[in-house]
Amino acid sequence: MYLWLWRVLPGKRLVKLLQVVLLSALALAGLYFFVFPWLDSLLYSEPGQGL
Amino acid sequence: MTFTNLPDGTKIYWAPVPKRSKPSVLLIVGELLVTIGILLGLFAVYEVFIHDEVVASAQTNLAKEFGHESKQQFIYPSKAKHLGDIFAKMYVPRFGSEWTRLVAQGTRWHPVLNEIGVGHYNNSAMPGEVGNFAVAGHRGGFGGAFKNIHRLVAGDRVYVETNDHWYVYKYLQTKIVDPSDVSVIKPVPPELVGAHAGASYMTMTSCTPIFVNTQRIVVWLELEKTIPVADGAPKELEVVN
Repeated sequence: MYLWLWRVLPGKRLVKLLQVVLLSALALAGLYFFVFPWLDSLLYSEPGQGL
Repeated sequence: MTFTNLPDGTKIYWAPVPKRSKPSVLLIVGELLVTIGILLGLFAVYEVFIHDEVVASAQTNLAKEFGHESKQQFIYPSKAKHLGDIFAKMYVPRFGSEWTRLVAQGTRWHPVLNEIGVGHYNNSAMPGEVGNFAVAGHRGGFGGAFKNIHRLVAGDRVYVETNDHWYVYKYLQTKIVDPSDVSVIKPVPPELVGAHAGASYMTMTSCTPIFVNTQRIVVWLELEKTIPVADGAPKELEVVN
């Protein structure tokens, strides 16, 4: 998957690297702003007892 | 091997293009496992460092909205019968000058420990009453209300504000117990050195070790004084804030 992504990204090595950084930032933003909060509410949605 | 005939009779031989091998199942599984590992690590970072701080801040802000002089008043302790009824506010200078949390009835995650911060054990005494005013808070995650409970030492005070009074409790003792040891919130805790009937105790409970949660940390305090709210906040607390 990662190798495939590296191959299909256009441009020279430095351009590819920049695209990888941008894609990673996009993925992180998606995870931290949408996926993790949703996952958190899903995991702790039931009334629980404990500390 | 392929070749091309040129008009002058010479042959150009083309080197074969190496075939790109298909990714093996092992490679795919390996990459998936690495991806899952990275995602779990990122989620742990989110839970411990980001979500925890966001919730702590929300709980502090919520606490600042309540008070006997604020728009949002507490429910009188004697009337706080339902889960989530907010009847007091706690100040613990040892946890930081800005630290403050509301105290609500019940010790369930929702809506008490996760959203409000500190929960009161049903059937334990109310602030200032004879017996044991027992409360619980998260140690880590969801704001970690009692994250620094282990830092409480002799000489520390905990201040509890209700509609009518300020209650000042002084630190007595800390103990690590098993989760099954519910005797720690009895009116006269048997493991509290020198405990006697007729006294007004406070018990703070949380999980330990932090993020492991296999045991419980218990801090006992004793009522030192009661101040009517009309007399203003305790002077020591004003100095801290």
